[in-house]
Amino acid sequence: MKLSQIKEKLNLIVVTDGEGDFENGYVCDLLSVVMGKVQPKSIWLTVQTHKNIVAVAKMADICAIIICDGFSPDEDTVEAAKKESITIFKTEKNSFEVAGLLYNMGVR
Amino acid sequence: MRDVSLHILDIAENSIRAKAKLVRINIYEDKDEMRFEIIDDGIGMDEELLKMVLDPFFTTKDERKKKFGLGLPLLKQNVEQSDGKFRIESKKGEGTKVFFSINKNHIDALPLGNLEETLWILMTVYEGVDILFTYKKNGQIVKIDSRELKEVFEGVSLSDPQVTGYVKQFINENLNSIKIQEAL
Repeated sequence: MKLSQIKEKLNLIVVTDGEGDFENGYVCDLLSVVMGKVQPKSIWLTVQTHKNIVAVAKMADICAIIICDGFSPDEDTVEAAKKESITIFKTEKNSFEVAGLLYNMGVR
Repeated sequence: MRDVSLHILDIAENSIRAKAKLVRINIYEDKDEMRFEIIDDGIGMDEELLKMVLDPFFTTKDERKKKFGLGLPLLKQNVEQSDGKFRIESKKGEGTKVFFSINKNHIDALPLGNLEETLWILMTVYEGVDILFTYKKNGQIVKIDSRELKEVFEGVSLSDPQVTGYVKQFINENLNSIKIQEAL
């Protein structure tokens, strides 16, 4: 699925923009668990905002991060995401709602 | 790394890679807080390198295919998100000190994890380095010193399969002594 599709459908706020496709979805806020369990080419839902999320995304080959529940990424997180070409969206919806919407769109 | 003991292992392994001869691991526990210190006498770091170790896009480990070092950045993040403190100091040629504290009452505080296993690995897997562990709680002190253990075994390496089991038991009994005294 294309990032542009979900950006529009879920009305996501763009923090760092990016194009491309993703294949799976994953929800978790413990970064060590994400590193161990997320599948490559995933879109990742979290409430974490620290710069470490960009490092985890890069390391685990995550396509994009959706920061849920109205949280905003730290300034240095945005800088790192630009540098590492990681797409970040944010939304007021919580992780459960976003995951449900993605699931209904066929993301697994 | 999901608990403090694994982070201690990670930090001490950094010390060992930095050619430390002695790694001191201190824990101070009271009702609300646990404070941790990992102090080594390794090669230390200059200011530039010290800044970089807290950058998640940096690692000192050459063998990694993807170059990231998330140990310290993750610990710092987790500790600070749960009302704890984190600090690292280092001097080139003198060694490195890592301090952090855990607010025991915070619901997101990292659990302690398996301290016995961490100490056992550090004392029996790595040759050429000594570990001095001190645990202070409610006025009681437990000390486990790998140099004393080596004296007892008169030159037999602590990684020798004949003694590793005893080392584990020794660590276990010492850690339990604090819990037992508490129960009395």
